[in-house]
Amino acid sequence: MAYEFKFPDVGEGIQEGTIVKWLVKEGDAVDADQALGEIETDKAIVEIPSPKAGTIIRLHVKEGGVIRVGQTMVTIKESGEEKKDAGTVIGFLDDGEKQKAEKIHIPRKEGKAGLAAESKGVKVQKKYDMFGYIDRVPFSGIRKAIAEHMAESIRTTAQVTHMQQADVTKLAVLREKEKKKAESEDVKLTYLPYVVKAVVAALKKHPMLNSTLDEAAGEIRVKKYYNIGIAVDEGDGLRVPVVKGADQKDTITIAKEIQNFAKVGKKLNPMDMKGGSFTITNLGHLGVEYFTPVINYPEVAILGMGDIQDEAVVKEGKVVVRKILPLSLSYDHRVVDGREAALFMKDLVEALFSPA
Amino acid sequence: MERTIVEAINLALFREMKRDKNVVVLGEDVGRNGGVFRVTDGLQKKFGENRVMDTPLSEAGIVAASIGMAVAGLRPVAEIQFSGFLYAGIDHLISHASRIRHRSRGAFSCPLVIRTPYGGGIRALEHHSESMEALYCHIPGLKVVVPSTPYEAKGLLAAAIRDNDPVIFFEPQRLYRQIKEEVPDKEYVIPLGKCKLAREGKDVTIISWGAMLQVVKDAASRVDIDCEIVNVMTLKPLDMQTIINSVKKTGRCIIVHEAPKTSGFGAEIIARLNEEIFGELKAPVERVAGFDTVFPLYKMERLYLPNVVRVVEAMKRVMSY
Amino acid sequence: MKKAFSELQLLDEKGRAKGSFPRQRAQEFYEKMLLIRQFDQKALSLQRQGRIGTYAQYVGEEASQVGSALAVEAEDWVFPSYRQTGSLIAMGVPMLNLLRYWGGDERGNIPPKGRNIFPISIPVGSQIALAMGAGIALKIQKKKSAVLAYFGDGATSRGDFHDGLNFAGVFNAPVVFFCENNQWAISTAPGSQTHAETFCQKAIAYGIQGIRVDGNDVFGVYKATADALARAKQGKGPTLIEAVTYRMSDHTTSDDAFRYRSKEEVEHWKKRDPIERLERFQMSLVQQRTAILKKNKELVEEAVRQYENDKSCPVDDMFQYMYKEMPEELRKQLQYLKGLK
Repeated sequence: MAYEFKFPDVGEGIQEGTIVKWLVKEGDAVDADQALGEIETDKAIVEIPSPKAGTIIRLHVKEGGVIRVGQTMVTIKESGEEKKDAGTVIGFLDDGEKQKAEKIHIPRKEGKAGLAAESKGVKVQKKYDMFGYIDRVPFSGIRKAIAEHMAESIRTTAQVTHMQQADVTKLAVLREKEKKKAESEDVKLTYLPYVVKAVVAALKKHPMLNSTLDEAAGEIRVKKYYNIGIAVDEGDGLRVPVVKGADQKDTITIAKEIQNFAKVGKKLNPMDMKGGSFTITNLGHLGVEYFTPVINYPEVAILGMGDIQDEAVVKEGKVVVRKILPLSLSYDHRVVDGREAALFMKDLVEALFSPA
Repeated sequence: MERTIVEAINLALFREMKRDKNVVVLGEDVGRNGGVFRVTDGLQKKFGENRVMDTPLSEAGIVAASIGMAVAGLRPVAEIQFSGFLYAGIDHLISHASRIRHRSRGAFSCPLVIRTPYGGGIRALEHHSESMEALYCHIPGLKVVVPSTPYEAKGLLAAAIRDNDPVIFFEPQRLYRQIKEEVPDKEYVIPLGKCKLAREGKDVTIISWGAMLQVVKDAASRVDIDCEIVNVMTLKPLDMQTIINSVKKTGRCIIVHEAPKTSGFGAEIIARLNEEIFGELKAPVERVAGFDTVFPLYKMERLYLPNVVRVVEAMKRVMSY
Repeated sequence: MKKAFSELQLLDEKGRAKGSFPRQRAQEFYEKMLLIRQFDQKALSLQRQGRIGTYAQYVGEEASQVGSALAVEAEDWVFPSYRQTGSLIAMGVPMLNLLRYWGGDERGNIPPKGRNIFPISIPVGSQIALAMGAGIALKIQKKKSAVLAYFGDGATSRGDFHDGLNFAGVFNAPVVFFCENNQWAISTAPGSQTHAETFCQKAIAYGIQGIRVDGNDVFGVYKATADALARAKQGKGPTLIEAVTYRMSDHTTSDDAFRYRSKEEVEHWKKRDPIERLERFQMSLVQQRTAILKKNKELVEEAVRQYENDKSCPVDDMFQYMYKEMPEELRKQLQYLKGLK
């Protein structure tokens, strides 16, 4: 093994030395610690002992020549075993590393001066702009979180909305019948649990609407579970608690769960808001008919419920009064095409028309 | 002629001693031995034992002696062999040197210079790698100067010697012989109290002093952003205007010092930036500093000292806003 | 003053006995002095190869180092200077520790179990005042042990020397102040260090005992130290010992002594070599020399092997021992350092 003996740092801050005299010549055998030569530095003339026993293969600097710390001084052919290099524990960029031609890339943002002042909700004094008086409301907290969530959904998905009526006349009758039973269990029975069941039935036939697209991984993950999120806004913020395993629960159980979520309100357990595969949002109680709900990304579809009203419809040439539930289905066209969505709606409407 | 920092300081001392007979040098091993780093080499031969004094082994004694000499009309330039041994003299610096002018309403003053090698990176023994310049910056009445190149060393030392107040002159020992550059023979003075732009740029301001400037320059040359480098030179009194002008231009700032992070001088600069130009900052100011530990024995020295990796990391953080 | 404090000498330069001493320990002293000399040579060589850092040699001072060290008992406290590596080895600190210390690894500062050996102090003389404090503690705790503080001629110029001896005198602390006067403090000779003729006479100023001993006479040093430690343990107060020897080497591996002293002076002291003196006293030692050198060499090489086989760099250590419990800020800094690639 040829050992390259580099000129070591022999004193405080010494950078280089001059070879005064070699005490050995190429071809000589040397012992460990045997003096190889005399080197003059700014501080002193020092003897350099050999770190290895072996034969001098090459003296790299002539007498009178200058050598810098770290430069190879002598090459020794070792006799005997070589030591194992235990390696460094923490490696990092050596200051002495050669200049790389390629520059290290620093990703940069445009940046805005005074950014810090604005983002902390610091209330600024001015109560007007150049057109009139204004109020300044901090944009932070849950408002900001919702904003980011909505924007991300719109930005990422190819959102399309289908709007269709569902005839829930028969459903209304069923509900009346089951209402009493529910009341005995202290449960207020709305249309919502029935819609949940009908959605589950339709999803079973059209599983692509119960999925998530992972573009990076290159796959659509079709859920085999039915966790239906129920969007709630009691005026104190928008939340989506999830009824898990809705396919395995009966109407009353679902109604009970939804009622409990409403009771807990803001103190909802974060786990109850996770794991949804499809969301239902209801603006019917506020008089809205049709709307374009924003998909609860990364889900693929959301069903908006409108105001259930008696309406005049034409059936077999006659005008009759039916109870109508307006439905708005927004879906991600990257995953689901119009045909599939329409068929889902068709099955959903049918399930609502003829409830079990 | 090309000179190292050691040679530049030697030349500065020679020039000043020639110019003003009141300038004297004192310290351990500075006379016959020429100083353990050879900074005072040849001076005793030239100017004699009365003006280049080998003292007994006592830093407290050296500092006290310097103060007494300065008050009585001399302009002493005391060498403290390593800044880690200056602590023994801090009592006299705080209790007297920094206060004499104030206490006597100008009847007495203390024009002394204390020169001392500081900083790590030379695989030295315990106490030989200290970087405690912030301690002295905290003492009202002292001035604190840190050169980083041979040209600066000569000019700043000349200024320090001519200054009528006590100056602590920290010499980055890691760079003592590492840099060689053109240093004119003739007299020149670099005024105290002014920072200098070591490099112009528009993306980020990097502020540093002493040996760390080499690390900063190295880092700046390896990245694809345009760095402006401010070499502080005089920590106290601090030239805030140069710093403000730079940070106003770039909006982003990194401070690099090898002294421990907590209460290091970087903290002072950041506080002042907040006071003066908070609204112009695009990002919080970053610090790359030594850790809040004792400076380790040399086996772990390279883990302690700020290096190119850490400076580049700070660049990424500061540019991410 | 030189007359008032004549040098205690039990073995003169020619190896003649000048008093009574434990002759049967001659071989033990001889082996130890050779061992530390061999270690010193090896350490110098390692430094020149960059395998340890700056190192302070003590060659020529072996009698002073070994004689004093062997007077120390297991429960005594020792406050060494940076030139007492030989003493530390002689009193039982593993050579591995010293290689680690000079190799820049704080683990070298951990004393052998049960031994009260303080880490090497770098700021000259600072350990003198600390030793005084420990001595006062031993007195208050009514312990049977004493303190040995080592320092050089240069250290006597520091304020710590004054504080150490002054307090120790006032409190009657069981401290032996051992001044290894090797006559050079880097480039400063004693005449430039003090206007006093000797260092031991400074004891008078503090009202304590002062003894001057030929530092190259291992038996003289042993007696002076053992007697002083015994006095201290008997409650008879502190002693200042001045061992007059000579620093044959440079101040450290960064120094070149011929800048400030003559080759003649060094040659003069070569003739007073403490190890040769012992050989002159007991010729039989010479016959064993080769075997002892060989045995010692193996011990030294083994220590070097152990030192170099351990390339570990426990980063946590740099942070963990700042406080008993690591503060949050420090923990964050350690995480940051570990996370760097």
